[in-house]
Amino acid sequence: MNAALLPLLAALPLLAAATTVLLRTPLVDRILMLGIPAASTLAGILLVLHHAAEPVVAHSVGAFVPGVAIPFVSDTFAAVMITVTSFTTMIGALFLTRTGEDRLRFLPALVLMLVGGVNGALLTGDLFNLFVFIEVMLLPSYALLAITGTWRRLGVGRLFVLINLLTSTILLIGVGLVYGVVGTVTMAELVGVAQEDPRAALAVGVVLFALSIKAGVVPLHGWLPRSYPATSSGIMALFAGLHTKVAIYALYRVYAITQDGTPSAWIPLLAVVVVVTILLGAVASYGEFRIRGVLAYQMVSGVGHILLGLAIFTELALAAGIFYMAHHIITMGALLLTAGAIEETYGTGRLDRLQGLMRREWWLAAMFAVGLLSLVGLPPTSGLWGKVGLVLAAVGVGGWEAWVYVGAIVAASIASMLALQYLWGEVFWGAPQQVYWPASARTGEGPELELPETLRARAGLVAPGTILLGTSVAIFVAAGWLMPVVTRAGAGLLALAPYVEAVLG
Amino acid sequence: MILAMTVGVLAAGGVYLLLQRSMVRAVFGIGLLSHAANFVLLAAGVSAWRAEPLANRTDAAVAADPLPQAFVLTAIVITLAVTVYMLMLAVLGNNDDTHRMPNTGESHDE
Amino acid sequence: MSLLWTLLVLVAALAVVAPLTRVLGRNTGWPLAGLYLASWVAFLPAIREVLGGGETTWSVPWVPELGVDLAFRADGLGVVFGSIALLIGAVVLVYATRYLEPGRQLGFYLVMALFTVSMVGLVLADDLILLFICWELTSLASFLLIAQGGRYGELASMRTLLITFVGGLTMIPAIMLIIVLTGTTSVTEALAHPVWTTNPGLTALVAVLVAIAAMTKSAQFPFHLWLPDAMAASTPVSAYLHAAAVVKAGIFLLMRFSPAFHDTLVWNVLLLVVGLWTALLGGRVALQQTDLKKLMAYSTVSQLGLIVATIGIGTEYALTAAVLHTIAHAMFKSGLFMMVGVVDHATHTRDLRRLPQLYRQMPWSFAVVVLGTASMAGVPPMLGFISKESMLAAMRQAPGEAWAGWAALVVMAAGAVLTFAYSVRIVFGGFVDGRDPRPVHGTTPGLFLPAALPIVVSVPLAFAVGLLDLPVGRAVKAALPHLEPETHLYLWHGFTVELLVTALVIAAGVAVILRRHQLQPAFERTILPFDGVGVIERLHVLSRALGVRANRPVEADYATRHAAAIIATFTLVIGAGLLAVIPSMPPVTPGLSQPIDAVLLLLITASVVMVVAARSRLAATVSLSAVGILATVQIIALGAPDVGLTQLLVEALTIIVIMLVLQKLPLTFGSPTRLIRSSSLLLALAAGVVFGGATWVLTGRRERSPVAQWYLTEGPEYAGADNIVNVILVEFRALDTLGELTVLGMAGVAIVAVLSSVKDRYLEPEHEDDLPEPRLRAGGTTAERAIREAWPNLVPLQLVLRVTGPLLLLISFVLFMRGHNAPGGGFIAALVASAAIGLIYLSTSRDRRIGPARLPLYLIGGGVAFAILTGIVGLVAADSFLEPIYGYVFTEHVSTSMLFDLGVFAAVVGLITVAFNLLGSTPRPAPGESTGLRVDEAVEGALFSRPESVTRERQPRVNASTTHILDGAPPRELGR
Repeated sequence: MNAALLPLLAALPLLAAATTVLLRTPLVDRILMLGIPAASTLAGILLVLHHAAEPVVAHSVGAFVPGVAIPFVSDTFAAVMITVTSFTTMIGALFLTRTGEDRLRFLPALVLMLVGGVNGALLTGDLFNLFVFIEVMLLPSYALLAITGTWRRLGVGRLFVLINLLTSTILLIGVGLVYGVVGTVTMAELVGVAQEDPRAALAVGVVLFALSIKAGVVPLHGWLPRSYPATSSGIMALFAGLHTKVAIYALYRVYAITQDGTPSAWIPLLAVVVVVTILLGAVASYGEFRIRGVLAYQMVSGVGHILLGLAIFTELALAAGIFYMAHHIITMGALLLTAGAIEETYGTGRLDRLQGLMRREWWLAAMFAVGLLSLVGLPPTSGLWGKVGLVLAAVGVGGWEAWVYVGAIVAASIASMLALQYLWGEVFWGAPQQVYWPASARTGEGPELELPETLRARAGLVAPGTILLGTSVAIFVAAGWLMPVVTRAGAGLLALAPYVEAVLG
Repeated sequence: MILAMTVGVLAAGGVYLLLQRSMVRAVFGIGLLSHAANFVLLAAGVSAWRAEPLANRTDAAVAADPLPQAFVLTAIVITLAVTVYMLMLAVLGNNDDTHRMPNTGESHDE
Repeated sequence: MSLLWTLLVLVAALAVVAPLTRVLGRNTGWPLAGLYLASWVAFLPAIREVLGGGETTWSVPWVPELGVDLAFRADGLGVVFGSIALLIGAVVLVYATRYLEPGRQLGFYLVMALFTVSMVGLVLADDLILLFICWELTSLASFLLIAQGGRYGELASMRTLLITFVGGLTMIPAIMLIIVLTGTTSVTEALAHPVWTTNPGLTALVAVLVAIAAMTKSAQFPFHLWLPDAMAASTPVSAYLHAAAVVKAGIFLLMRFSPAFHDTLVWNVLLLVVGLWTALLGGRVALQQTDLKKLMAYSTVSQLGLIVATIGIGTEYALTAAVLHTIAHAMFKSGLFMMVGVVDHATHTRDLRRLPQLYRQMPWSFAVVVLGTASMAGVPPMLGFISKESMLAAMRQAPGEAWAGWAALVVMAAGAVLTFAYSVRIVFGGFVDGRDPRPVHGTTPGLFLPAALPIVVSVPLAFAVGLLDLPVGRAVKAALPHLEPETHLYLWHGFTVELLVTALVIAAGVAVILRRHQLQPAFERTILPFDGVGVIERLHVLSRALGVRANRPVEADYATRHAAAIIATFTLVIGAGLLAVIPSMPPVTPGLSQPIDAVLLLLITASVVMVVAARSRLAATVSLSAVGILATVQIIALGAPDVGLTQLLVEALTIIVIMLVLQKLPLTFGSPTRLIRSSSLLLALAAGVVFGGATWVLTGRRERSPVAQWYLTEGPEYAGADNIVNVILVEFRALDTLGELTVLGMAGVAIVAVLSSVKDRYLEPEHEDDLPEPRLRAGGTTAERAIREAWPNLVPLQLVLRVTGPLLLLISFVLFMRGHNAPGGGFIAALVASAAIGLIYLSTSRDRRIGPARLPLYLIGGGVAFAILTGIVGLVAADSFLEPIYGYVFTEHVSTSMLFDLGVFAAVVGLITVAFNLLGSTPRPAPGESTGLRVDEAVEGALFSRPESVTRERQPRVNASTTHILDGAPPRELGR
């Protein structure tokens, strides 16, 4: 396999974005918006398969001296992330074409740029380049958030931009400080620095801090549940799958490399943060009054679950965390898209305005139910293995912290179960729905009308969510094939020699 | 080390403005913060060597570290781009009070 | 293999349900029952194997990483419970064909099938994870079955799910702990592991967790509430759930784990106490029920309590009794439930107070119910008598002091009395005492026979109870593998204490029968102050309140609050980190600071204060630009000419754009409250200290980095250029620049996208010019023109522009070309060109679009595409993306990186033009014109022609002799 092709994963989506700006023909827009993520998914799968033989492939972009050039690196972890994110993006894009949002001016260009940014951020082996690609990922997001969704989108767009810029600035400062202490920003040269030098640890700490804002870690999470639900379901599904997850990926990567296998002295802090995030996300989701509001807080809780792998920091824990991340991206995307089908059809996502949909939309209800099962970790869904893996890893370390982690997971599960039962009861059970608000899902305008008996969610709207849920169930069944992959991914974060070898030669 | 103080001053100003309701002030705040960030980057290149890194004019022994300069250039440009975008957001609804949703005439149903 | 077939048949059943119901409707029960029997037949070889003292296993790896297999294994327990699930299931299905309304009934049959699969899977599973999965599946199935019971069923099913879910949650850690302790996921190996004897602490913990899980399923106090709740489901469901399946799953789990825990004290005590207490409670509450079905439910609770308590004893004898009673209970209770259904069908009520004297109209049903209740009450010579006897006997083997055994015996005897009492209530309340004159339809054989079957069969079984020796023995062997049980069951044990107890119980029971009318009020008094439903409701209310409280702090759609949280956390965390590392700081590199830094610090501080303090937007903007210029000086002082140049130009353009925006906004900022001001000031100062401190601690304390050394020494000849910074930008780190220029260009696209999504309001304020009207003579006068028209101010600027415009473009070209060797490059060149554009914009009398409509977007898209294509050329021609290719154009050393630079140039100019065109141009909006429309026009070209585009020819060009103010003849603008 030719490593020189890696940069194309970031470059081609950007090229496609530029193309759509130049051509501006709906057909080309759609072809590219669906084709590029599809191709990227395929590339990801191929990379995963390839890494079974060669754990890490790296390429110095521009063929300059290693250490000077920006390296693009792919290992199992990165490949898995590329596959999952691209796949979710593809399905999300499909949903956008079903709602007609892809006709909004330049939306396809922005989505494609988002893909490019994500792939770049996942593959780059250079801290500053990571900053750049996160910016590439964020800029289209600013616009996507502000052009779709309800009337609140513009005001929330301001919130989103300001917070993310503050974060980016902190990230930039962090990168600067790392260079200031260590004198390099090539990740392969940062191996173990946080272990050797407390100042380096602090500099890296600034970077990790910025990343955990982007990941939505409590107490830095507030912007997430406020901003995401204000955009449209399709876009929120993209954000849920890409933004916070790329940040978490970077957290895993940077922390693992700079710690070089031995946990940090700051672990207690991390542990507290993780536990609080798990619990608060679960508890707070009961306080929301929109479907996607509840789901947004479930995302926060999910972030905590994923970071548990980092807090425990054993091979099994990292593997479990990575598996949970993949599961969470797909499940959350599925739920958001299904919720989107409801909003598009009935014109609202407010719990107090929806009821008794079970009677009309049994398939949609069944899909949503499967999604919720996956969220709380019940069979037959990917969520079960996610939870099993994390608990197994937590119990494996033993000691009191193990019981804190397990306790947090259990308590959070109960809280989530209560909140999701509330959600389910409000939306799908009870007396049949009487009225609806056509065309209000995105713009928030539209009068209350008598609900026609024949009205159902269009198949095109339900299909994307169904595909993702099918994936979740497939993951449950095929866990036997996937576990080795995530185990390899986790192992690659602890044994860094191949990574360094591949990058610096 | 005076540069650190400059960074501190800029950061403090930036944070203060960022905490104000007016979007424009927040944008100014981000501006100050990114000045601070740029100085952090340049300081990271160790400001003991300050000669221009131009191979034909200065001797490498005293030349400043060129890498942070490249970083700063990139950062400045990104800041410019986002600033323009934010100013566009600020002007929507002809009021930049972030505590109110910009009034674009759309109904406030949802 | 036998096991595989057993399960496959059931899976097949699950698969064919949907089509079957389409054809057969409610009669689907018949073929389905057939399949259950077929599955049991397939099970027979395994059963024979087990009874013969062996065991059958079948397994295939599932998740090797975690050692999880799809492993099934039939032992005594599997045989007993599997057979119960299948046989009772078959009967129930037959019963359902007549009980259910005519119609498709897909939901019922589907979930029944799912249920049986997971139940049989559970009892056969030989892998802990698989066991857990089946366990959760049974929970889900019961949830779904109950959920079909109408509105109340929905709520009840939620509670059921919640409780069983909690059970699952205690089971996960238990199982994981077992796996970690024993290093295997195989049930058999794990339970046989020595750790259970060597590590009492953890053993106790796991035992408790498992016990709790089982108690949630078997409806033991305090989890008993879901079982009566489940009565919302249809009667066949109840018969199955409460006699054969879910509740038995809990019992099964306890027996399954007995090998490890049977002599763990906490296990014994917990099960014994909870079981007996549940038996008493359930019995007592059963007495106050008036709904026959609810009564049955509580009787189930109490019966299960007895079984749990017996398992808690943990001896061979006790487990024998437990297994036997499980079988007996499965038979009489399923029958009784179905009989309740029969009564319900015949009289359309289950309320004791509204039933007629049924024994006259329905003698057969009466007889069957009497047999069933007799067995439940433990009246000889019923099967229930034998099991009850053995359980009573088992009590005396309770661990610990002798008195414990006697106490247990007494309590259980009390439970037995209660059992007798509510059995009496069923028989007499249901069939004898009724006075209600309502009509009775009688019953159909199709409904009655399957209902009667289990009870009737159990009668002869009591006399041939020896038949059960082997299966029960094997089950006990499976529960207590360390001993070789010799099980012999008799109807007649001889005169024993238990017999005496039974006699007393029956005597008490007869007394109850005789005085039942007087006792009734006492029975119906409620005893528990709270009920489970209320508890769970309160739980919901509580967590709702918690959730709302958890949201409140972050409930803000504006940035300030979230920013404050972030800054505060940053200050704390990083501040603490700084204090931690300050001791271990290396010394600063000498010569770090220069005098000029100090000067600039003062100036910057001053202008920052002005920006912060300014109340007028203009003042703030001016001060901001001051900061920018000072920053430029500082940057140049740090030896970064390119950066300085860029900073200056960027500052200029930013200011212009800010001015464009300010004209659409109020003149001053709103003034914050004192609290806001002081708190944000405090936070700002703290943050400033931390940021500055971080810089002080973490920078300027090392030698020059190797990479910097490389750039300065190797870099130039490597790239054949002197301006290293520029070379880094366009070659070594061209990827950064690529990302940067994409951001830059797409920012323009983003602006267009957002603005064109604003459907309603046009960007302009409705009423701008509320300036005082100067009093002037009628229009057309010199003074009027001088004040009202923009032209007079512009003439000079336009004249200047005629010279500077081309000059700027030339400079921009030069900067572009020399970028490689001296300060300059595509980006700086582009900024200069943009300055020219800005000049054009400023020098026009009337705001209008600069250049052709689509140009900016073509510049952006083209620029980005061009840059990337250059990169791809590098990949194709050389061997790496963005790898520069060098060459000579007339002796001028060039490289593809200059083409790349061209892309940068285009993107920048594109963005700036978009900014000017969209934020700047403000002709009077046509009424009702939306921002979206305006933007579409700006980027797609005129949608409707504007008047000023005609009548342009006759005008003279601007020149030094323009006399517009005097004669009012507007000259032609540049570029028209």
